[in-house]
Amino acid sequence: MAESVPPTNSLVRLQHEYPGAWVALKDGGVVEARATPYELVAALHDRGISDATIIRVPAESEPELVELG
Amino acid sequence: MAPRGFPWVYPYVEEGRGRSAQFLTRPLLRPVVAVRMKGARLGSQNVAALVDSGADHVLAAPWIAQDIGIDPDPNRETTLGIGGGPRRVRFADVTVHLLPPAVTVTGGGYDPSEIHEWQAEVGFFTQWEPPWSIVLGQVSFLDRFTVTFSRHAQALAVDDVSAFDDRYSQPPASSSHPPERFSA
Repeated sequence: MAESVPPTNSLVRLQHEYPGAWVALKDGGVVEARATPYELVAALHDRGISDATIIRVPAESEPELVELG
Repeated sequence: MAPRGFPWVYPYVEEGRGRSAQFLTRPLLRPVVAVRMKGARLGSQNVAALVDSGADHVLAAPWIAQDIGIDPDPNRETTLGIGGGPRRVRFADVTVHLLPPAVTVTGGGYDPSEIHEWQAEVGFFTQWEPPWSIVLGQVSFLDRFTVTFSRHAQALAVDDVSAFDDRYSQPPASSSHPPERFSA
């Protein structure tokens, strides 16, 4: 499932390819994607991956988040 | 081995605009750092955390509580207005690891010798959907470091907590005495 993304810290391309998904990123690519963070953590554990970064990719249909805190 | 010294400068993360805002041509840029939490056990992965100067707390999604093996205290529960609605949060005391800028959101990586670590009171949501599973706010983050945001540079810098006083020696004009400092 290695999918290269731009070298910058951009989520834009991921938003086209993984809208709404929870993804694990490593070495500039998506190493795992699941519908929930619980499934994602379990999948990474099964694969022995312990140094990815987890984020949920916002879908383009979602409103822009403001005033989070 | 001690972590590399401050300041740590993190590039902003670009997020695509939603379909309803395509007329906004400027990029949507988020101040984001990678962190890892530790409770009964170390978190299994890094987490992209939004730095939010408008939030008074450090907040985290419920899946992280499960991942680090803690059960937030029901006696420390409150309701916060966030994201347009009320949300229940339960607080717990955990350890937070700030990862260096070399650990980009898309790059991953984790070296325990290259982190800054501190104890934090973290509010865990009972339900949480936003992309950012951790929000780093005033208490337990912005009182631990001096953080500088620059939309111009498209980056944020994390520096030692004393950096603010080193830069700005005078107290705010509105106060007759220097404000009392919170202990880090």
